[in-house]
Amino acid sequence: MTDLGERTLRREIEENRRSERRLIPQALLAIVVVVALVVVRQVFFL
Amino acid sequence: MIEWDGVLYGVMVTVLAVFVAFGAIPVLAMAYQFLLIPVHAVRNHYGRAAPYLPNVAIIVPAWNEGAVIGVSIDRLMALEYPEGALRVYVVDDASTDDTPQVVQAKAREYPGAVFHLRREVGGEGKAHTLNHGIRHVLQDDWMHALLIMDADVIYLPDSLRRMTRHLADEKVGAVTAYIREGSRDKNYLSRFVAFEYVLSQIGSRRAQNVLGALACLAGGAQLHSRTNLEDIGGRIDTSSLAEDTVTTFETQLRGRRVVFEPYAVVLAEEPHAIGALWKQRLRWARGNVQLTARYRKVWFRPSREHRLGSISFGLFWFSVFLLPCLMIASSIGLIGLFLLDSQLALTVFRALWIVAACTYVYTMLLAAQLDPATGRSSWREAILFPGAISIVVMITAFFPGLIEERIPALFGLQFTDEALVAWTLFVYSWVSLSMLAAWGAKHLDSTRPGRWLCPLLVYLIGYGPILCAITFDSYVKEARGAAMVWDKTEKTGRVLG
Repeated sequence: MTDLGERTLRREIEENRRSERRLIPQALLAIVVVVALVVVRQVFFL
Repeated sequence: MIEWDGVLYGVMVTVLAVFVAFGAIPVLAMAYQFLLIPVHAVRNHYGRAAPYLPNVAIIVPAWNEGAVIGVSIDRLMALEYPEGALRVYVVDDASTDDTPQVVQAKAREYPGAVFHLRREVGGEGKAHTLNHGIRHVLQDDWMHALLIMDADVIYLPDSLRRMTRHLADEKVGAVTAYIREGSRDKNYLSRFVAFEYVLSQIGSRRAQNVLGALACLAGGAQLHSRTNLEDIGGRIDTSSLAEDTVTTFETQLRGRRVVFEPYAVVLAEEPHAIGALWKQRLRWARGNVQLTARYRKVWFRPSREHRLGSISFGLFWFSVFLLPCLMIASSIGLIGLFLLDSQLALTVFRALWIVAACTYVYTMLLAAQLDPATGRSSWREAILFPGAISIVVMITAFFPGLIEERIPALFGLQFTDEALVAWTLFVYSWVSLSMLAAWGAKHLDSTRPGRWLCPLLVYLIGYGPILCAITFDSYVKEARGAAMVWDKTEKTGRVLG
């Protein structure tokens, strides 16, 4: 049985809160790819 | 002297350009939602969440769920949750299979934790079934929180406790989880659904968390505090086909928050055939038509009590609700402009589809990272979500000359003027034609050749146009006043344990 003590549950909340920080680099990576495509368009297709 | 021909021409061009601009609304709304997702890194509910393990009553509506209900109960009993703080009430909606026997056997196996509630007259719909169970659990004070789920879904062991922690904040009335497609034998359609859920749940619902207004608690995973349940009347709405959304709205209209918890994962079996998907989604879409009218005094009216009236939330809601109309308006605008001023039509077409292409690349790349496992198993469906043809249209707009000149030139070919006009008209009208094609795919799916033709067709036309066509169908059904039938989605116990 998993320990459901207060300390464990608090740590889990904190871990999940910190995991959400990954959203920023993930979004930035997606934006970088979009910008790269726009650059390709500007350089080779206009 | 006014030149009326010139004025008329100017008015027509302006009107048609506005029509095209309608097509940009859902694209910009999607981009806006997905740009809000990284904000969830700093604006989320974890700061107010706390260890909290209340007594939870789980209500499971069941009609002929003999194939899946036993495993579901075992999984619920195996949840990482304090012993004695969990009770499962299976509301058997006059099942004609072995559901009663299976549930009664489980009640003996888990005495005091599993209960069988029988409705002798069933078939009135999920809300009536849930209300039978809710009346029962509200009779005493044991229950502190109520979990509403479906019989066939599987909660991962840590999912419930990840939901209850948000109820430690008294301002939160309800919490929902991430429903992940969990079939063992996924086919092309269930992989599309899997990726759709990444977009619509761990994507869009994070954005809605940021805004403080949630569109819908997932029917298979909604946890309510007792106070909230009593405040919304101690019952689930039975007058619409979207009882989950009514509950979500009523909670928020009373000033309570609804939180989406992305780390609470619930596995569900989703349709493997277009006909079944159409039936399920038509019910949801008709429910949304009904609710759009019911809550007409909520939209675009900011309030201190709730965020449902915010401009952003209204934009999200109506960009989905009106999607077919906006797509058709966009096609009419482009073709009309082409007839009046083909160069202007080309300019606005490129502007519209370049924005669409950038949004598509950004959302798909971000979504694939949000749930890497689904991103890996559904990578083809992620790429082809808008359909191969729409991707060609995006390439046509994004890389001018590539499709019309450079690629044919590689094979020593050249578009004739007539072919170029035909291609242009096809490209301008594709967003509307794709809905017709989706309707065709639905009918083809039930035929023998459809078994192998349909996957190919859906990869070509995309999954998005199917949802769009279903929304259009919901307008028609509601306008005709078609009977509100609560069609249960057929489940076969495909979900992974």
